[in-house]
Amino acid sequence: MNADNPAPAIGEEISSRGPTYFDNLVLENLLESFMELAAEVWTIRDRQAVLETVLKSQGIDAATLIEQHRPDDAELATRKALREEFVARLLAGFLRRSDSKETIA
Amino acid sequence: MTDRGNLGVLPRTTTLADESYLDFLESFRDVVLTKMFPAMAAAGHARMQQDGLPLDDDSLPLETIQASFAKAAIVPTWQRFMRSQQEMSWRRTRQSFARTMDAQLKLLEETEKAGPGKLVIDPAFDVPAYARREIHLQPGGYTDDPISGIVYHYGTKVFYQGGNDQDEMHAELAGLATPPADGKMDRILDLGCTIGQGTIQLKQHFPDAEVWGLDVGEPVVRYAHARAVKLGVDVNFRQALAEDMPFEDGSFDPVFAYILFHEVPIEVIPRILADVRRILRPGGTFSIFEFPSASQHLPPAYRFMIDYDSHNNCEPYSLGFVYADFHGMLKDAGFAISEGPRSRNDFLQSIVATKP
Repeated sequence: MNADNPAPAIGEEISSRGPTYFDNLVLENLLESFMELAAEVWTIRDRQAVLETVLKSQGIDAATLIEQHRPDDAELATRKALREEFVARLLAGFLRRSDSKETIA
Repeated sequence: MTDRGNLGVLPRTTTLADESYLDFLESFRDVVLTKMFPAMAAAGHARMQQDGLPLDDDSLPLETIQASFAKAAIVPTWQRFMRSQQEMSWRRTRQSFARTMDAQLKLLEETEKAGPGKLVIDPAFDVPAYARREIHLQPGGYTDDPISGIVYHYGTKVFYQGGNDQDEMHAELAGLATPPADGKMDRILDLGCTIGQGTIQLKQHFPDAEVWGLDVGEPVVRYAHARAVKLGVDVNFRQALAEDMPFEDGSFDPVFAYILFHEVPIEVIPRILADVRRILRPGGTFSIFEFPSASQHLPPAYRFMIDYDSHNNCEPYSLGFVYADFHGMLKDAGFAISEGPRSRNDFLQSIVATKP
């Protein structure tokens, strides 16, 4: 690569403020959040379906076992970290454009 | 990580969650394009008619069209959805394959010298600044992310809404490449080949020909080569500029280009055309599938969409192309042009330019 022509930071297009389309920024952020949420809902449903199929093939009644399950502290901590990562992604749009361009540099 | 294998000729993402997430986006994008775009076009056109504007006047300023479209409630929602699905798609695809970055890079290195075809990379090659853009919002574009080949491959699965998972669209287009009148097809060039999907399909259609793919992006031609090696297809790849090709005069029978020209600055196009004319032998054909250009009538909704795409999907050069007299440029470069066979993608124009 050319030293006189340095590469832009990878992913700049998708991580900068990006364009907006509504007068009300909250609408932008809500729609983005809605899309993240919908994608996550589908991802879970898809995984659940695969999981139940796999378990059934092994003779395991997952539905009953899930209700009987009691997590330990380590599992709780792992699940909390995953949950926090999900919430951060869900709300990223609101942080990305917290106010109009004129107000925030 | 567990190797999740392939979906036919397409790599699988590194986790099921990535695959499900991207499947969702593929379906979301399909609705946004095939259901919501027509609804937006109808709403925008209705607003234009309310404003007393004609729908068939190509000289109408874009700003006038945009002002009417902006009144329709669906418009900013469509814009937000288009942008966000594209961002989400690249973010997740990159994240998925970055997990196995070391393995991806090792594979590219291991297959570099493998056959049946060749890979030619010039270490002194300078990528021009114009090519180092994050085209279509892809992180690092075609040139600056070492794993951009696999990221592009899976990202465009979503982009084509699942319609090109097994290179179906490239197979169709390769089948529509127009051979020279004498039928001689000894050496074929796929210009702007990216990851070589079209290059491989050209070889399938013309198995006796020597086939080359050329692209500006080193990571994409490296991936193209590795993929051809894996599939056992004898095609060659080379990193080079379309306007400065390291090929002999008159050394190709046909040249093929799919959606190349709208991704280069308008001032570079005459140089590319001059170099294609140089490397084609007399009677050689140049088959072009491309965005529409100034010689075609476009409904206002298409003009609105192309402008949106240019500004919101990192297509910095597409507007220059769409409003340019591309047919005139081909004639100026010394080609005889005729309309080529149409593909299933209605949006694309098809041109056959012949070197006299």
